[in-house]
Amino acid sequence: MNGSRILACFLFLVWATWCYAFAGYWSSSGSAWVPDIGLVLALSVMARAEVGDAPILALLATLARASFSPEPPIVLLAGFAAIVFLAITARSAVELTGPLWRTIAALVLVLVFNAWLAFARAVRDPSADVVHVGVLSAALPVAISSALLAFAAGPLFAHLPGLKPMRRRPW
Amino acid sequence: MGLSRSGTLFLIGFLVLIALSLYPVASVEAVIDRAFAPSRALAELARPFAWLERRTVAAAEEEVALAFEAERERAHAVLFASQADAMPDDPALLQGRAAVGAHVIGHRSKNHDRLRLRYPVDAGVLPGSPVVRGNVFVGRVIALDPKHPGECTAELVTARDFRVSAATGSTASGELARFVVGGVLSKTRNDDRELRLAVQYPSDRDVAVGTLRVSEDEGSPLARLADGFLLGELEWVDVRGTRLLGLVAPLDYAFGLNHLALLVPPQMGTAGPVLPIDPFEPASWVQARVILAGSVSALRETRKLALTSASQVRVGAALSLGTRFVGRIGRVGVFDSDARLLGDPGLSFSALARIAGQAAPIPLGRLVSLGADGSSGDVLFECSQVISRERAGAQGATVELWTAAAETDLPPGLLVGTAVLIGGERQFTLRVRPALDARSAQRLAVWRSSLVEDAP
Repeated sequence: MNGSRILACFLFLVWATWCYAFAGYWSSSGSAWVPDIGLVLALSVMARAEVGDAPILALLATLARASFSPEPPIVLLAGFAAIVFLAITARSAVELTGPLWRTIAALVLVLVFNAWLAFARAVRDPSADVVHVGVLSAALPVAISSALLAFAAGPLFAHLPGLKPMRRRPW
Repeated sequence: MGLSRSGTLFLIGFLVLIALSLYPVASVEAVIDRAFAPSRALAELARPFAWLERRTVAAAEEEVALAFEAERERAHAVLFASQADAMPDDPALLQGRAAVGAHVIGHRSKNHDRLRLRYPVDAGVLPGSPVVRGNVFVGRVIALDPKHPGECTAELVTARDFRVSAATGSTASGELARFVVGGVLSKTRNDDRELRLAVQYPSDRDVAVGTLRVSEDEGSPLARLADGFLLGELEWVDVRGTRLLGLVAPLDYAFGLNHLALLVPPQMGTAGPVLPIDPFEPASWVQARVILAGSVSALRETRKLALTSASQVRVGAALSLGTRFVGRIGRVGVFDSDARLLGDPGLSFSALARIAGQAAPIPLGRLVSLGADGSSGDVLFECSQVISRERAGAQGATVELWTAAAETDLPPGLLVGTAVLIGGERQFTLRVRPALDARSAQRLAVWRSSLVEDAP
């Protein structure tokens, strides 16, 4: 890995951290429609990244989200690895950079990611008893707003300053 | 081939990650937590967002500070009223003994039939002192804590090996019917609302109804202080096809015990009601900075705190602003901690409800958060206690909620918020308007005066 790609990874980490910080700040108003901006950024970059870079992206996204998230890092890492796996599988069949598919991918993958977090919490801490209260329904507005964000700003995220060395396929 | 090999490795790593996520191994988790320690430094990138909120937060903090004195007085009044409600009020039960106020500061971690109690240090409490709530017998003190004067461990009458002599009214022969009470009938053990105390060794097998009271005629002088206190109503219980005698418990032993009274000889009581703990002692709280006033998780309502394990704060410690309860600590790490706010699903605490015009607050038992209700700021809680219609009314009454004495890490007397309480319902949802919307808070106070070890 050359210097420019290392710098790109570092800048992706900074951008992802900022995305999560902004989403957290936005959510403090109590709005349920705050998109998972960090995940949309990761998907936008992953759509054109090398397959070999995917685990690195998952690791960096985990690091950024762990800064503000209550979930254990290992749960986040497994969640992002799942997202990477699904995204790579999906992009072998459809064009994830297109408006329709990037919107659908964001909707589905944000739901999958939140379902995984809820499931992991329920298994790790049965006393929390959180599944029955329908917390998953809280993830639906996030998934919809994330999909809209991916539709409107997907290319913008992929072209954030410093991320060019991570794009191996043209957008 | 190379791609296939890396793909296989990725899949294996992915499956290992899933397994470790669902079935955590402490040592692995600790290593991974440390590997992600740089995320604590990354979190500081969010500092500019705190500057944006500064003006709003300052106004909220000013309002809390202005209300502090008045709310502290109200908190003390609620705690004194709750304590007074736990004292025996039958004049016959006050003769020849003194009642000392005590409050529950926690359960033993692996034995919920044992409570940790705190009481005034000058009270003459001894091992064997009976524990009561109102006119109802609850258990006995089994050990004083030598390291923490004014704290003891009490065993509840629900404990498997607990035995207390009891008697009911006269039988046909004109004598008292005697029994031994202790433990619970196994079939009903999983459902606390149906809890029945076990009754054994009846002196007269024809007696199957009546009110049982403690009658330790042949016990020690200390044990006899409990004579006359209520145990419950006798009834037949069907346990797996066998009819056994049981007692309908008049209390919720699992979550309904907050304030209690310890019985001591009359010369060893305290002069008047005293609060064994002041929840607003400044030394009991440590201030912590909120790293980002927001949460990135759609399913949780949490905050990262700049608070490390060096602060000796424990998981479950209460969080407050002024007199207002806003949540509990969810995790204490080497580099930061997690705060769970009221709207975090699964957060639980014991509460008292105070109805305007009524002196004694109602113990609500444990409230479990179901999460915030949209952007209204209200939080929904599940409550399994049955509230009498006489207290709350069928139409509902507006109540003020306060934290109750029940756990080591949660001081009683913190203001939670307001709600409408409807009497007669079982397992209901309570919509609470928090006293403070802490979602934008930049600093929180963390309770830390509870660094007690488990007593023997």
